[in-house]
Amino acid sequence: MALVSRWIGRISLVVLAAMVLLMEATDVSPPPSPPPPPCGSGSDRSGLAVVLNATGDPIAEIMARVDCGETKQKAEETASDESLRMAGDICLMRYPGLLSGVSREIRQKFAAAVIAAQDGGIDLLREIEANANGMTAWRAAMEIARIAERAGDRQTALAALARARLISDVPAACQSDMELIAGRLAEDDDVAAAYFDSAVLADPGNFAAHVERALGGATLRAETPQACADAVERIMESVVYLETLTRSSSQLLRIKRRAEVLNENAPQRALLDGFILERIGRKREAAAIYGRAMAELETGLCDERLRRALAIRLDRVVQK
Amino acid sequence: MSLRTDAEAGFVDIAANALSVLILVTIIVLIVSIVPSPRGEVRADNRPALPFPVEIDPSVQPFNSYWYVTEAGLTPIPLRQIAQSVFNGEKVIETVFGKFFFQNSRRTYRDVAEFRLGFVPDSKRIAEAAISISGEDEIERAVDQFSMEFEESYIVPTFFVEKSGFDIFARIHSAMRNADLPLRWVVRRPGVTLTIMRDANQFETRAATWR
Repeated sequence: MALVSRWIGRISLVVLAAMVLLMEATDVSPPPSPPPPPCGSGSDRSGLAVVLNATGDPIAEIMARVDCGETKQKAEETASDESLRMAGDICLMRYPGLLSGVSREIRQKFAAAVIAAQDGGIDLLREIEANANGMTAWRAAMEIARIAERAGDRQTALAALARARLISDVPAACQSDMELIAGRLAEDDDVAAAYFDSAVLADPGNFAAHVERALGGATLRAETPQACADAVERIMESVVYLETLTRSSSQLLRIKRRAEVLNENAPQRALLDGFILERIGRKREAAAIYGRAMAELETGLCDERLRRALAIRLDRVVQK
Repeated sequence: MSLRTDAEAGFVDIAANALSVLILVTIIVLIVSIVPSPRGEVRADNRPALPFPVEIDPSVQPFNSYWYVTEAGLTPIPLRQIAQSVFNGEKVIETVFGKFFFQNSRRTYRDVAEFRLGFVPDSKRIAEAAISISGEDEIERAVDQFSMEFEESYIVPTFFVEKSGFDIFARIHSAMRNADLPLRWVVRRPGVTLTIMRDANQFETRAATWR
Protein backbone atom coordinates (compact mmCIF):
# COMPACT_ATOMS: atom_id res chain seq x y z
CA MET A 1 0.00 0.00 0.00
CA ALA A 2 2.79 2.34 0.90
CA LEU A 3 4.56 1.40 -2.30
CA VAL A 4 1.53 2.22 -4.44
CA SER A 5 0.93 5.55 -2.76
CA ARG A 6 4.58 6.44 -3.17
CA TRP A 7 4.48 5.68 -6.89
CA ILE A 8 1.21 7.52 -7.30
CA GLY A 9 2.83 10.50 -5.63
CA ARG A 10 5.84 10.46 -7.94
CA ILE A 11 3.85 9.98 -11.10
CA SER A 12 1.47 12.78 -10.23
CA LEU A 13 4.43 15.03 -9.51
CA VAL A 14 5.94 14.28 -12.93
CA VAL A 15 2.59 14.76 -14.64
CA LEU A 16 2.08 18.08 -12.89
CA ALA A 17 5.52 19.25 -13.93
CA ALA A 18 4.85 18.16 -17.50
CA MET A 19 1.58 20.08 -17.54
CA VAL A 20 3.28 23.20 -16.28
CA LEU A 21 5.92 22.79 -18.97
CA LEU A 22 3.32 22.45 -21.72
CA MET A 23 1.32 25.44 -20.54
CA GLU A 24 4.49 27.50 -20.50
CA ALA A 25 5.25 26.36 -24.04
CA THR A 26 1.89 27.44 -25.40
CA ASP A 27 2.13 30.84 -23.72
CA VAL A 28 5.27 31.71 -25.69
CA SER A 29 3.52 31.80 -29.08
CA PRO A 30 1.80 35.12 -29.81
CA PRO A 31 -1.97 35.33 -29.72
CA PRO A 32 -3.56 34.91 -33.15
CA SER A 33 -4.28 38.22 -34.87
CA PRO A 34 -7.95 39.01 -35.47
CA PRO A 35 -9.05 38.08 -38.98
CA PRO A 36 -9.12 40.99 -41.41
CA PRO A 37 -12.53 42.28 -42.44
CA PRO A 38 -13.92 40.29 -45.36
CA CYS A 39 -13.81 41.80 -48.83
CA GLY A 40 -17.39 42.65 -49.69
CA SER A 41 -19.15 45.30 -51.65
CA GLY A 42 -15.98 46.95 -52.89
CA SER A 43 -15.02 44.03 -55.11
CA ASP A 44 -16.94 45.20 -58.13
CA ARG A 45 -14.56 48.10 -58.57
CA SER A 46 -11.02 47.64 -59.79
CA GLY A 47 -8.25 47.71 -57.24
CA LEU A 48 -7.09 50.97 -58.72
CA ALA A 49 -10.30 52.94 -58.46
CA VAL A 50 -9.66 56.56 -58.99
CA VAL A 51 -13.15 58.03 -58.70
CA LEU A 52 -14.79 57.83 -55.30
CA ASN A 53 -18.51 58.05 -54.83
CA ALA A 54 -19.46 61.07 -52.85
CA THR A 55 -21.87 59.26 -50.54
CA GLY A 56 -20.82 57.11 -47.65
CA ASP A 57 -17.58 57.25 -45.75
CA PRO A 58 -14.91 57.16 -48.44
CA ILE A 59 -12.08 56.88 -45.96
CA ALA A 60 -13.52 53.79 -44.31
CA GLU A 61 -14.17 52.33 -47.74
CA ILE A 62 -10.57 52.82 -48.80
CA MET A 63 -9.26 51.33 -45.59
CA ALA A 64 -11.60 48.37 -45.86
CA ARG A 65 -10.44 47.65 -49.37
CA VAL A 66 -6.81 47.74 -48.31
CA ASP A 67 -7.26 45.78 -45.11
CA CYS A 68 -9.36 43.02 -46.63
CA GLY A 69 -6.51 42.28 -48.99
CA GLU A 70 -8.24 43.26 -52.21
CA THR A 71 -5.60 45.79 -53.20
CA LYS A 72 -2.88 43.35 -52.29
CA GLN A 73 -4.48 40.70 -54.46
CA LYS A 74 -4.62 43.01 -57.45
CA ALA A 75 -1.01 43.97 -56.83
CA GLU A 76 0.02 40.33 -56.62
CA GLU A 77 -1.60 39.69 -60.00
CA THR A 78 0.54 42.42 -61.47
CA ALA A 79 3.71 41.33 -59.71
CA SER A 80 3.24 37.69 -60.67
CA ASP A 81 3.94 38.48 -64.31
CA GLU A 82 7.25 36.66 -64.78
CA SER A 83 8.41 38.89 -67.59
CA LEU A 84 7.85 42.17 -65.72
CA ARG A 85 10.98 44.05 -64.71
CA MET A 86 9.23 46.54 -62.52
CA ALA A 87 12.36 48.60 -62.02
CA GLY A 88 12.58 49.30 -65.75
CA ASP A 89 12.69 52.98 -66.42
CA ILE A 90 10.71 52.76 -69.63
CA CYS A 91 8.00 50.40 -70.88
CA LEU A 92 10.35 48.68 -73.31
CA MET A 93 12.57 47.70 -70.40
CA ARG A 94 9.68 46.58 -68.23
CA TYR A 95 8.02 44.28 -70.73
CA PRO A 96 9.62 42.23 -73.48
CA GLY A 97 8.73 42.31 -77.13
CA LEU A 98 7.15 45.77 -77.32
CA LEU A 99 9.43 47.00 -80.08
CA SER A 100 11.16 44.40 -82.16
CA GLY A 101 12.66 44.32 -85.61
CA VAL A 102 14.81 47.43 -85.19
CA SER A 103 18.02 47.27 -87.20
CA ARG A 104 21.44 47.12 -85.59
CA GLU A 105 22.43 50.49 -86.99
CA ILE A 106 19.48 52.26 -85.42
CA ARG A 107 20.00 50.47 -82.13
CA GLN A 108 23.62 51.56 -82.20
CA LYS A 109 22.47 55.14 -82.71
CA PHE A 110 20.12 54.89 -79.73
CA ALA A 111 22.95 53.50 -77.63
CA ALA A 112 25.18 56.38 -78.69
CA ALA A 113 22.52 58.85 -77.56
CA VAL A 114 22.28 57.16 -74.16
CA ILE A 115 26.07 57.22 -73.81
CA ALA A 116 26.11 60.94 -74.51
CA ALA A 117 23.04 61.60 -72.32
CA GLN A 118 23.05 65.21 -71.21
CA ASP A 119 26.23 65.95 -73.15
CA GLY A 120 24.87 66.03 -76.70
CA GLY A 121 22.46 63.11 -76.56
CA ILE A 122 19.45 65.20 -77.50
CA ASP A 123 21.01 66.25 -80.80
CA LEU A 124 21.69 62.64 -81.70
CA LEU A 125 18.14 61.69 -80.77
CA ARG A 126 16.68 64.42 -82.96
CA GLU A 127 18.55 62.90 -85.88
CA ILE A 128 17.11 59.47 -85.11
CA GLU A 129 13.62 60.86 -84.70
CA ALA A 130 13.77 62.68 -88.00
CA ASN A 131 14.41 59.44 -89.86
CA ALA A 132 12.08 57.13 -87.94
CA ASN A 133 8.40 56.54 -87.48
CA GLY A 134 6.07 54.55 -85.27
CA MET A 135 7.37 53.24 -81.99
CA THR A 136 10.98 53.96 -82.93
CA ALA A 137 10.15 57.64 -83.26
CA TRP A 138 8.19 57.38 -80.02
CA ARG A 139 11.23 55.97 -78.23
CA ALA A 140 13.45 58.73 -79.57
CA ALA A 141 10.99 61.46 -78.57
CA MET A 142 10.54 59.92 -75.12
CA GLU A 143 14.29 59.76 -74.57
CA ILE A 144 14.57 63.45 -75.46
CA ALA A 145 11.76 64.19 -73.01
CA ARG A 146 13.39 62.10 -70.27
CA ILE A 147 16.83 63.64 -70.68
CA ALA A 148 15.40 67.16 -70.83
CA GLU A 149 13.22 66.57 -67.78
CA ARG A 150 16.13 65.26 -65.74
CA ALA A 151 18.24 68.20 -66.83
CA GLY A 152 15.50 70.65 -65.86
CA ASP A 153 14.66 71.82 -69.39
CA ARG A 154 10.85 71.92 -69.28
CA GLN A 155 10.32 73.47 -72.69
CA THR A 156 12.21 70.81 -74.59
CA ALA A 157 10.67 68.05 -72.51
CA LEU A 158 7.10 69.24 -73.09
CA ALA A 159 7.70 69.64 -76.81
CA ALA A 160 9.15 66.15 -77.08
CA LEU A 161 6.28 64.71 -75.04
CA ALA A 162 3.77 66.38 -77.36
CA ARG A 163 5.47 64.76 -80.33
CA ALA A 164 5.42 61.38 -78.59
CA ARG A 165 1.69 61.71 -77.97
CA LEU A 166 1.10 62.12 -81.70
CA ILE A 167 2.29 58.58 -82.37
CA SER A 168 -0.57 56.16 -82.71
CA ASP A 169 -0.90 52.57 -81.49
CA VAL A 170 1.26 53.03 -78.44
CA PRO A 171 0.83 50.12 -75.99
CA ALA A 172 -0.72 50.84 -72.60
CA ALA A 173 2.53 50.28 -70.70
CA CYS A 174 4.17 52.96 -72.84
CA GLN A 175 1.27 55.35 -72.37
CA SER A 176 1.96 54.97 -68.69
CA ASP A 177 5.45 56.41 -69.22
CA MET A 178 4.03 59.39 -71.07
CA GLU A 179 1.61 60.09 -68.24
CA LEU A 180 4.42 59.77 -65.71
CA ILE A 181 6.58 62.34 -67.45
CA ALA A 182 3.58 64.63 -67.89
CA GLY A 183 2.98 64.38 -64.15
CA ARG A 184 6.58 65.20 -63.35
CA LEU A 185 6.50 68.19 -65.66
CA ALA A 186 3.18 69.50 -64.39
CA GLU A 187 3.40 72.57 -62.22
CA ASP A 188 0.09 72.17 -60.46
CA ASP A 189 -0.02 69.44 -57.82
CA ASP A 190 -3.59 68.40 -58.59
CA VAL A 191 -2.86 68.08 -62.30
CA ALA A 192 0.25 66.07 -61.51
CA ALA A 193 -1.73 63.77 -59.23
CA ALA A 194 -4.26 63.12 -61.99
CA TYR A 195 -1.43 62.21 -64.38
CA PHE A 196 0.08 59.80 -61.87
CA ASP A 197 -3.32 58.17 -61.39
CA SER A 198 -3.66 57.53 -65.10
CA ALA A 199 -0.05 56.31 -65.24
CA VAL A 200 -0.68 53.56 -62.71
CA LEU A 201 -4.01 52.75 -64.34
CA ALA A 202 -2.30 52.21 -67.68
CA ASP A 203 0.49 50.11 -66.18
CA PRO A 204 0.14 48.92 -62.58
CA GLY A 205 3.66 47.50 -62.82
CA ASN A 206 5.24 50.92 -63.23
CA PHE A 207 7.23 51.22 -60.03
CA ALA A 208 8.28 54.82 -60.57
CA ALA A 209 4.69 55.89 -61.16
CA HIS A 210 3.60 54.37 -57.86
CA VAL A 211 6.45 56.14 -56.08
CA GLU A 212 5.42 59.49 -57.52
CA ARG A 213 1.77 58.83 -56.77
CA ALA A 214 2.42 57.98 -53.13
CA LEU A 215 4.75 60.94 -52.64
CA GLY A 216 2.32 63.25 -54.41
CA GLY A 217 -0.49 62.14 -52.13
CA ALA A 218 1.70 62.64 -49.09
CA THR A 219 2.79 66.16 -49.98
CA LEU A 220 -0.39 67.53 -51.50
CA ARG A 221 -1.96 70.54 -49.84
CA ALA A 222 -5.55 69.35 -50.07
CA GLU A 223 -8.07 72.12 -50.66
CA THR A 224 -11.27 70.11 -50.40
CA PRO A 225 -12.34 67.06 -48.41
CA GLN A 226 -12.62 65.15 -51.69
CA ALA A 227 -9.00 65.96 -52.51
CA CYS A 228 -8.07 64.74 -49.06
CA ALA A 229 -9.84 61.44 -49.59
CA ASP A 230 -8.14 61.07 -52.98
CA ALA A 231 -4.75 61.72 -51.42
CA VAL A 232 -5.40 59.07 -48.77
CA GLU A 233 -6.43 56.59 -51.45
CA ARG A 234 -3.32 57.30 -53.50
CA ILE A 235 -1.05 56.79 -50.52
CA MET A 236 -2.71 53.58 -49.37
CA GLU A 237 -2.96 51.90 -52.77
CA SER A 238 0.43 52.85 -54.07
CA VAL A 239 2.23 51.76 -50.91
CA VAL A 240 0.57 48.35 -51.17
CA TYR A 241 1.61 48.10 -54.82
CA LEU A 242 5.15 49.21 -54.04
CA GLU A 243 5.45 46.70 -51.25
CA THR A 244 4.22 43.90 -53.50
CA LEU A 245 6.39 44.87 -56.45
CA THR A 246 9.67 45.21 -54.60
CA ARG A 247 9.21 42.88 -51.64
CA SER A 248 11.97 44.91 -50.10
CA SER A 249 11.58 46.94 -46.94
CA SER A 250 14.66 49.00 -47.69
CA GLN A 251 13.03 50.34 -50.85
CA LEU A 252 9.95 51.40 -48.93
CA LEU A 253 12.11 53.10 -46.32
CA ARG A 254 13.95 54.93 -49.07
CA ILE A 255 10.65 56.33 -50.27
CA LYS A 256 9.78 57.34 -46.75
CA ARG A 257 13.07 59.21 -46.43
CA ARG A 258 12.44 60.88 -49.78
CA ALA A 259 9.17 62.20 -48.38
CA GLU A 260 11.11 63.67 -45.47
CA VAL A 261 13.53 65.36 -47.84
CA LEU A 262 10.64 66.91 -49.74
CA ASN A 263 9.82 68.42 -46.39
CA GLU A 264 6.30 69.51 -47.01
CA ASN A 265 4.48 69.54 -43.75
CA ALA A 266 1.31 68.19 -45.21
CA PRO A 267 -0.45 66.11 -42.58
CA GLN A 268 -0.87 63.19 -44.98
CA ARG A 269 2.84 62.55 -44.65
CA ALA A 270 2.21 60.96 -41.29
CA LEU A 271 -0.16 58.54 -43.01
CA LEU A 272 2.50 57.64 -45.56
CA ASP A 273 5.23 57.21 -42.95
CA GLY A 274 3.03 55.22 -40.63
CA PHE A 275 1.59 53.00 -43.32
CA ILE A 276 5.01 52.15 -44.73
CA LEU A 277 6.21 51.19 -41.26
CA GLU A 278 3.07 49.17 -40.75
CA ARG A 279 3.60 47.21 -43.96
CA ILE A 280 7.19 46.33 -43.09
CA GLY A 281 6.15 45.15 -39.66
CA ARG A 282 7.27 47.99 -37.39
CA LYS A 283 3.87 48.30 -35.80
CA ARG A 284 4.88 50.08 -32.64
CA GLU A 285 6.61 52.87 -34.53
CA ALA A 286 3.62 53.15 -36.83
CA ALA A 287 1.27 53.48 -33.87
CA ALA A 288 3.47 56.20 -32.43
CA ILE A 289 3.43 58.16 -35.67
CA TYR A 290 -0.34 57.85 -36.06
CA GLY A 291 -0.92 58.90 -32.46
CA ARG A 292 1.37 61.91 -32.70
CA ALA A 293 -0.18 63.03 -35.98
CA MET A 294 -3.69 62.77 -34.57
CA ALA A 295 -2.71 64.90 -31.62
CA GLU A 296 -1.22 67.55 -33.89
CA LEU A 297 -4.16 67.77 -36.28
CA GLU A 298 -6.05 70.99 -36.24
CA THR A 299 -9.58 71.59 -37.40
CA GLY A 300 -9.20 72.17 -41.09
CA LEU A 301 -10.84 71.09 -44.34
CA CYS A 302 -8.79 67.98 -44.70
CA ASP A 303 -8.20 67.21 -41.08
CA GLU A 304 -11.61 65.69 -40.48
CA ARG A 305 -11.02 62.98 -43.07
CA LEU A 306 -7.40 62.58 -42.13
CA ARG A 307 -8.31 62.13 -38.50
CA ARG A 308 -10.65 59.34 -39.55
CA ALA A 309 -7.94 57.71 -41.66
CA LEU A 310 -5.36 57.89 -38.89
CA ALA A 311 -7.86 56.60 -36.35
CA ILE A 312 -8.68 53.56 -38.47
CA ARG A 313 -5.00 52.78 -39.05
CA LEU A 314 -4.17 53.22 -35.38
CA ASP A 315 -7.00 50.89 -34.52
CA ARG A 316 -5.71 48.20 -36.86
CA VAL A 317 -2.13 48.55 -35.74
CA VAL A 318 -2.90 48.39 -32.06
CA GLN A 319 -5.18 45.40 -32.48
CA LYS A 320 -2.43 43.12 -33.74
CA MET B 1 9.90 -5.76 -1.80
CA SER B 2 9.14 -8.31 0.81
CA LEU B 3 12.54 -9.86 0.07
CA ARG B 4 14.41 -6.71 1.06
CA THR B 5 15.29 -5.72 4.53
CA ASP B 6 13.93 -2.54 6.05
CA ALA B 7 17.22 -0.73 5.67
CA GLU B 8 17.48 -1.56 2.02
CA ALA B 9 13.90 -0.51 1.46
CA GLY B 10 14.68 2.81 3.04
CA PHE B 11 17.63 3.40 0.75
CA VAL B 12 15.54 2.56 -2.31
CA ASP B 13 12.99 5.11 -1.14
CA ILE B 14 15.61 7.78 -0.74
CA ALA B 15 17.06 7.06 -4.17
CA ALA B 16 13.66 7.08 -5.86
CA ASN B 17 12.62 10.30 -4.18
CA ALA B 18 15.91 11.92 -5.01
CA LEU B 19 15.36 10.92 -8.62
CA SER B 20 11.91 12.49 -8.71
CA VAL B 21 13.26 15.66 -7.12
CA LEU B 22 15.96 15.70 -9.77
CA ILE B 23 13.36 15.32 -12.50
CA LEU B 24 11.33 18.14 -11.02
CA VAL B 25 14.29 20.45 -10.69
CA THR B 26 15.33 19.73 -14.26
CA ILE B 27 11.86 20.58 -15.50
CA ILE B 28 11.80 23.81 -13.55
CA VAL B 29 15.21 24.78 -14.85
CA LEU B 30 14.11 24.07 -18.41
CA ILE B 31 10.99 26.17 -18.03
CA VAL B 32 12.85 29.08 -16.53
CA SER B 33 15.58 29.05 -19.12
CA ILE B 34 13.41 29.14 -22.24
CA VAL B 35 14.88 32.08 -24.08
CA PRO B 36 12.13 34.65 -24.45
CA SER B 37 11.54 35.71 -28.07
CA PRO B 38 12.69 39.27 -28.58
CA ARG B 39 9.81 41.71 -28.32
CA GLY B 40 9.90 45.07 -29.92
CA GLU B 41 12.75 45.94 -32.23
CA VAL B 42 16.47 45.92 -32.20
CA ARG B 43 17.75 48.71 -34.37
CA ALA B 44 20.36 51.37 -34.33
CA ASP B 45 19.13 54.94 -34.31
CA ASN B 46 22.41 56.36 -35.45
CA ARG B 47 23.84 56.21 -38.92
CA PRO B 48 26.34 53.41 -39.26
CA ALA B 49 30.03 54.28 -39.14
CA LEU B 50 30.48 53.49 -42.84
CA PRO B 51 27.68 55.40 -44.52
CA PHE B 52 26.16 54.26 -47.76
CA PRO B 53 25.53 56.51 -50.73
CA VAL B 54 23.54 59.64 -50.17
CA GLU B 55 19.81 59.40 -50.60
CA ILE B 56 18.66 60.63 -53.96
CA ASP B 57 15.31 60.52 -55.68
CA PRO B 58 14.40 56.84 -55.80
CA SER B 59 12.63 57.06 -59.11
CA VAL B 60 14.81 59.36 -61.21
CA GLN B 61 18.24 58.21 -62.27
CA PRO B 62 20.91 60.93 -62.25
CA PHE B 63 23.31 61.70 -65.08
CA ASN B 64 26.81 60.28 -64.87
CA SER B 65 30.20 61.92 -65.34
CA TYR B 66 33.24 59.72 -65.44
CA TRP B 67 36.56 60.43 -63.76
CA TYR B 68 39.78 58.47 -63.70
CA VAL B 69 41.91 58.70 -60.56
CA THR B 70 45.67 58.17 -60.71
CA GLU B 71 48.43 59.40 -58.45
CA ALA B 72 48.71 62.41 -60.73
CA GLY B 73 45.14 63.46 -59.97
CA LEU B 74 41.70 63.38 -61.54
CA THR B 75 41.12 63.03 -65.25
CA PRO B 76 37.65 63.67 -66.65
CA ILE B 77 36.57 61.21 -69.32
CA PRO B 78 33.99 62.97 -71.48
CA LEU B 79 31.91 60.61 -73.55
CA ARG B 80 30.57 63.09 -76.08
CA GLN B 81 33.15 62.36 -78.75
CA ILE B 82 32.91 58.63 -78.18
CA ALA B 83 29.14 58.81 -78.48
CA GLN B 84 29.48 60.66 -81.78
CA SER B 85 31.81 57.95 -83.10
CA VAL B 86 29.42 55.22 -82.00
CA PHE B 87 26.60 57.11 -83.67
CA ASN B 88 28.55 57.05 -86.89
CA GLY B 89 28.77 53.28 -86.68
CA GLU B 90 32.25 52.71 -85.29
CA LYS B 91 32.78 49.75 -83.01
CA VAL B 92 36.36 50.33 -81.86
CA ILE B 93 37.20 53.86 -80.89
CA GLU B 94 40.74 54.93 -80.09
CA THR B 95 41.01 58.02 -77.95
CA VAL B 96 43.66 59.76 -75.97
CA PHE B 97 42.35 58.01 -72.86
CA GLY B 98 42.46 54.50 -74.24
CA LYS B 99 40.36 52.20 -76.36
CA PHE B 100 36.59 51.94 -76.33
CA PHE B 101 34.82 48.85 -77.62
CA PHE B 102 31.15 49.16 -78.48
CA GLN B 103 28.94 46.12 -78.46
CA ASN B 104 25.33 46.24 -79.43
CA SER B 105 22.62 44.63 -77.41
CA ARG B 106 21.76 40.98 -77.85
CA ARG B 107 19.51 39.90 -80.68
CA THR B 108 16.65 39.42 -78.24
CA TYR B 109 16.67 42.83 -76.68
CA ARG B 110 14.09 44.59 -74.57
CA ASP B 111 14.96 48.24 -74.98
CA VAL B 112 16.43 49.45 -78.28
CA ALA B 113 19.02 51.46 -76.38
CA GLU B 114 20.72 48.49 -74.70
CA PHE B 115 24.47 48.39 -75.18
CA ARG B 116 27.85 47.51 -73.70
CA LEU B 117 30.78 49.87 -73.93
CA GLY B 118 34.10 48.42 -72.88
CA PHE B 119 36.91 50.75 -71.85
CA VAL B 120 40.56 49.78 -71.74
CA PRO B 121 42.32 52.82 -70.30
CA ASP B 122 45.83 53.93 -71.12
CA SER B 123 46.97 54.90 -67.64
CA LYS B 124 50.07 56.75 -68.70
CA ARG B 125 48.34 59.10 -71.08
CA ILE B 126 45.47 59.55 -68.68
CA ALA B 127 47.89 60.57 -65.94
CA GLU B 128 49.42 63.13 -68.29
CA ALA B 129 46.04 64.79 -68.73
CA ALA B 130 45.20 64.74 -65.04
CA ILE B 131 44.07 67.68 -62.98
CA SER B 132 46.35 67.58 -60.02
CA ILE B 133 44.75 67.62 -56.58
CA SER B 134 47.34 67.51 -53.92
CA GLY B 135 46.45 70.41 -51.68
CA GLU B 136 43.46 70.93 -49.45
CA ASP B 137 42.15 73.88 -51.45
CA GLU B 138 42.38 71.91 -54.67
CA ILE B 139 40.30 69.16 -53.14
CA GLU B 140 37.83 71.75 -51.94
CA ARG B 141 37.59 73.25 -55.41
CA ALA B 142 36.96 69.81 -56.89
CA VAL B 143 34.24 69.08 -54.34
CA ASP B 144 32.66 72.46 -55.03
CA GLN B 145 32.55 71.66 -58.70
CA PHE B 146 30.92 68.29 -58.05
CA SER B 147 28.45 69.97 -55.76
CA MET B 148 27.54 72.53 -58.39
CA GLU B 149 27.12 69.85 -61.04
CA PHE B 150 24.84 67.89 -58.75
CA GLU B 151 22.73 70.88 -57.70
CA GLU B 152 22.33 72.38 -61.12
CA SER B 153 22.51 69.49 -63.56
CA TYR B 154 21.83 66.40 -61.41
CA ILE B 155 25.16 64.90 -62.44
CA VAL B 156 26.81 62.36 -60.16
CA PRO B 157 30.47 61.42 -60.66
CA THR B 158 31.68 57.88 -61.17
CA PHE B 159 35.33 57.33 -60.32
CA PHE B 160 37.57 54.70 -61.83
CA VAL B 161 40.30 54.33 -59.23
CA GLU B 162 43.67 52.87 -59.94
CA LYS B 163 45.83 51.41 -57.23
CA SER B 164 48.25 54.29 -57.42
CA GLY B 165 45.42 56.76 -57.01
CA PHE B 166 43.98 55.35 -53.80
CA ASP B 167 45.52 57.98 -51.55
CA ILE B 168 44.11 60.84 -53.53
CA PHE B 169 40.77 59.14 -53.94
CA ALA B 170 40.50 58.50 -50.22
CA ARG B 171 40.72 62.22 -49.57
CA ILE B 172 38.22 63.10 -52.27
CA HIS B 173 35.88 60.40 -51.03
CA SER B 174 35.90 61.63 -47.47
CA ALA B 175 35.49 65.24 -48.58
CA MET B 176 32.49 64.33 -50.67
CA ARG B 177 30.95 62.22 -47.91
CA ASN B 178 31.34 65.14 -45.54
CA ALA B 179 29.61 67.37 -48.06
CA ASP B 180 26.85 64.75 -48.40
CA LEU B 181 27.36 64.42 -52.12
CA PRO B 182 26.55 61.19 -53.92
CA LEU B 183 29.26 59.42 -55.84
CA ARG B 184 30.14 55.93 -56.90
CA TRP B 185 33.47 54.33 -57.57
CA VAL B 186 34.99 51.28 -59.14
CA VAL B 187 38.47 49.91 -58.60
CA ARG B 188 40.25 49.40 -61.87
CA ARG B 189 42.41 46.32 -61.72
CA PRO B 190 45.14 46.05 -64.34
CA GLY B 191 44.10 44.01 -67.29
CA VAL B 192 40.39 44.26 -66.52
CA THR B 193 38.14 46.09 -68.97
CA LEU B 194 35.76 48.61 -67.48
CA THR B 195 32.25 48.25 -68.90
CA ILE B 196 29.58 50.90 -69.13
CA MET B 197 26.28 49.37 -70.09
CA ARG B 198 22.54 49.52 -70.22
CA ASP B 199 21.00 46.11 -69.92
CA ALA B 200 17.76 44.50 -68.80
CA ASN B 201 19.61 42.66 -66.04
CA GLN B 202 20.31 45.96 -64.30
CA PHE B 203 16.60 46.40 -63.78
CA GLU B 204 16.02 43.08 -62.07
CA THR B 205 15.68 44.69 -58.66
CA ARG B 206 15.85 48.12 -57.21
CA ALA B 207 18.44 47.14 -54.67
CA ALA B 208 20.94 49.52 -56.20
CA THR B 209 20.08 53.20 -55.89
CA TRP B 210 21.10 53.83 -59.43
CA ARG B 211 23.31 52.22 -61.99
